[in-house]
Amino acid sequence: MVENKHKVSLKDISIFYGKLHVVKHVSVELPENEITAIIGPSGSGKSTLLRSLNRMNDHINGMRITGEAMIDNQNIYADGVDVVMLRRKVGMVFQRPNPFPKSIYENVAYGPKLQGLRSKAELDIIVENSLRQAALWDEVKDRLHVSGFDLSGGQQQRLCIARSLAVGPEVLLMDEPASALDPAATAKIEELMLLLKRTLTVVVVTHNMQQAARVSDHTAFLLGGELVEYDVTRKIFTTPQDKRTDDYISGKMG
Amino acid sequence: MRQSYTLPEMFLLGTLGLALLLPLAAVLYIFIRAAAGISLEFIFAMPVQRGITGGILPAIVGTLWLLFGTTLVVLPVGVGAGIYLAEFAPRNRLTHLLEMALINLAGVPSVVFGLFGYAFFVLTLGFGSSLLSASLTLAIMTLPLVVTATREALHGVPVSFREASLALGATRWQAVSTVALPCARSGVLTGTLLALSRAAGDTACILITGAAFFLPRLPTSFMSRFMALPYHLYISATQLPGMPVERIWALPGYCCS
Repeated sequence: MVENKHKVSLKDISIFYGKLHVVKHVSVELPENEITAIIGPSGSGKSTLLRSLNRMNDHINGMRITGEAMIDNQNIYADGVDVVMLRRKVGMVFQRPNPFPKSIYENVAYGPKLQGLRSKAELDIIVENSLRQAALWDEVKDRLHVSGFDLSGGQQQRLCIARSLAVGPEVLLMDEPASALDPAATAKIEELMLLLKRTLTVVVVTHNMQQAARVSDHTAFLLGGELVEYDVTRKIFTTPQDKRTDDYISGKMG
Repeated sequence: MRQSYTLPEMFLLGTLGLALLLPLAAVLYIFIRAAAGISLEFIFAMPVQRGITGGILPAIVGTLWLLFGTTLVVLPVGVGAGIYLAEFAPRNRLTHLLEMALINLAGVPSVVFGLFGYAFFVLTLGFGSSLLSASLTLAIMTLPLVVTATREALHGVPVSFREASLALGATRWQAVSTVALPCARSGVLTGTLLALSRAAGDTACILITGAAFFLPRLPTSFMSRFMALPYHLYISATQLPGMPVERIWALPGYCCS
């Protein structure tokens, strides 16, 4: 198997909230066009680590980060990095579906409009392509102008994915994207993730180990802020090297 | 299916009944008493004989100008300050202190602001007794209300909307202007209208900053003195022997509608 080139590489990342040391000396390299799952018990720093990749933690008072976070060999915490540009390149999908109280169309067109795109024809194309990519087009094409809130939970989450895709990201961060959804909707999101990795690098935080095993190529196991083990997903789930990983995936912990 | 109410539920239902009935009864009573006094002439004519006959047009126009002047100041300044407090101010003790101060300022009796307006706008700045002095005084009185209402309305917008916006590459200002503010719009408007209705009904502030009881002409500029409905009502009802009773009732009747 040919190793893909590394899209994201973290070197000795530590994250603090005030005096709290939430993520401890994490170094890991995530391959392009793969799905990397971050698993671990609650409070292990999974979401914090994920949110450091598009600098969403910047908005938290007292947050401090040390080490290097490289995306395409550029340190995203270097001086002079434009956070707005970074977030166009690194999209994010949240735990609870959070469409705006706007129409389906306006939700997807929101990002491109922020960038100043006004042409109706171009917006139409972006909206259709993004909704198709998010496997939602066929379900909503006849009612693009109804509120995003009128969709089911699973559809709302796919709408949020379409909204992220409309900006043209290269990396997609997903923070427990299916934890608020029923099994059928979860299955659709997982199918979608497998499609998305053809064009994107996906990093997904999940509590659901079956999900990690089903969709991810690599898995990172975080415990108490430390990266305990990182390897090909199959190895993590069949022959983990660390006893703590074994305990976690076999349900003896967390 | 509900069978019956428990005692506490009945009590609460009773309070709701009172809360609806009493103000409604007051308004209805005023309308009934006012019916005899209201006429087209009453609304559209100049007052004669200190208002004992003729109409109240200058008072209506004066109050409208007053509200216009107040809105001009309080809307941009109050909403702007509210947005800053809710969205951009650092979360620290100073901000918290400021917010507490605003809430307390909203409770200061209007006559206190009136006194300040008289000392500062009328005398120190030399605006004299005028629409300008009175509008500015009312603006100061209502500012804390509008700032607080704006802040509260923005706090009511879920954090997840802002996060989604920021994650799509919005600047903080874009997240506020394209998502948070549109969501908070109705709250901001309601708060502003409540504040303005308080300004419209206030007597103490304008009493000493520019309102005149009897001035049978319309204000010509913001430096004019003016008549205003609440002050006219106050004087008519308490200080003027010989004022026909239905004319007094007609005044709040007009204010209510």
